[in-house]
Amino acid sequence: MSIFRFPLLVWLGIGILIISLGIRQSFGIFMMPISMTFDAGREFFSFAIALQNLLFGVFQPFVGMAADRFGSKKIIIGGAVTYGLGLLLTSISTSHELFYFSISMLIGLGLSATSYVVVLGAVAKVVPAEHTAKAFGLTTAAGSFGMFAVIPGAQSLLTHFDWQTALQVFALLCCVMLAFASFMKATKTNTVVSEVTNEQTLKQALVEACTNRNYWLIHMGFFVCGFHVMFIATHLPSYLADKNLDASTAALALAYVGIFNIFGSYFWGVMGDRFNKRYVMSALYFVRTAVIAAFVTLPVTDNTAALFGAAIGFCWLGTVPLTSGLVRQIFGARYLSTLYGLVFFTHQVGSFLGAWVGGRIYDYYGSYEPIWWSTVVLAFVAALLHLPIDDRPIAQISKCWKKECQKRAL
Amino acid sequence: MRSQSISAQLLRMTAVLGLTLALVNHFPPLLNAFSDNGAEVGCHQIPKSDKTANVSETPEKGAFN
Repeated sequence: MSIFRFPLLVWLGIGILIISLGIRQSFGIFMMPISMTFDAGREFFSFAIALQNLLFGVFQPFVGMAADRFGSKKIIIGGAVTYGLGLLLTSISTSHELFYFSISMLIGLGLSATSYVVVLGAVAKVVPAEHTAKAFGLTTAAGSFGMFAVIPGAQSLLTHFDWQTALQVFALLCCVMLAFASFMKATKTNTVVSEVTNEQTLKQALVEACTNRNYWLIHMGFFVCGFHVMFIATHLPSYLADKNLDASTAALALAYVGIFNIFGSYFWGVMGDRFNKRYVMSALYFVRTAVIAAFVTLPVTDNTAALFGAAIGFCWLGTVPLTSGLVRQIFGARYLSTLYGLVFFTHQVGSFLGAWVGGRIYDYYGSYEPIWWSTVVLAFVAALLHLPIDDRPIAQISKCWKKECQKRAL
Repeated sequence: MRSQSISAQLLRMTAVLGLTLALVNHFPPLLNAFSDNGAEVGCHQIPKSDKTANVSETPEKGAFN
């Protein structure tokens, strides 16, 4: 299926992701002016963003449940309003308490309700099952592109106005998300209709997933993904600096991560539709294992750093369409936001540990080598973890099981 | 309509990737934008410290020229 034949909802979802994630990605350039206004060190702003990340992950399962219960459209509209309110309150806040409440709590909640978990849940309900991973890959890749849509505008706003005005313009931009969401109309595909009309409750779906071994294997795999990505993004510049490489080398490596990630996300999605998703996922983690092992083993030069950036970028967010695609394939589209929201939370825990443990181990050993080798082992384990996943739809397994029981009873 | 075979899709992706790399390597502001924010996509955001903030601020050599 050509991407141009995807339903309108997919493109509206992409638009929402570009704005939602684009605004968040631009927060980095607000650090200096905000820290100066509040007459606080950089830790003040960094802590607010770290808290926002944490709450973003914590809210995700609950927002997913709400989306499955009340519909993605309502949740995205509510999220856009909360996001806008958070930005507005941040711009007028004069106390630290109000600042933390608005930028961490409100924006974290708004972000949860307008990003991957809810949008992918909505996309899953309108795209035929056999094209889901490709649609997820396209959505992930486009979401990664958000920074180009928003960051230049944010820089221009900060050049001409103060940071408060820039955030207020962003708050107005949330109205565009609201408008996109109001056009979202779920035209369910035939395969989804049968799943949606299934009388299973949210509680039953949760119990079914939580007692399913495959679901926990998916959790563990995505935990590793979060650990890898956050460790590399946080510590790669310092590691390259330790190897006496120029700052421009680290910049080029990180730039290649960003460029190759956009293509990689789509590529792995396409592969997930064409081949068995669990094997594609294993292949992705085997590639990560080989790439990180080669990077740690070979001499680190300008060229190998750039090559590493490109190779690891290619597998950066490729796990998103495959993981969400696997959850959708096994458990169906009906409660995807809830089930993927929980998986996403595990991912955020991995992210937190990747950034933190990386620094902790470096402080303890005075070297990044032990943590790099740990990531190699984790990637290899994650690759193996996906092999035994039974990716048949759970409804199909239940039917086979019932037939088997009936045969035995006869 | 364009072919949806895997080889055709990969060929199109490779062509666009090559074009993007050429564009980015010849347009420093775009390269800086990617290096500052490219790794923070999706669900990841790094609270920048003094050490990691704006790693692209010193484009003295290599691909930046």
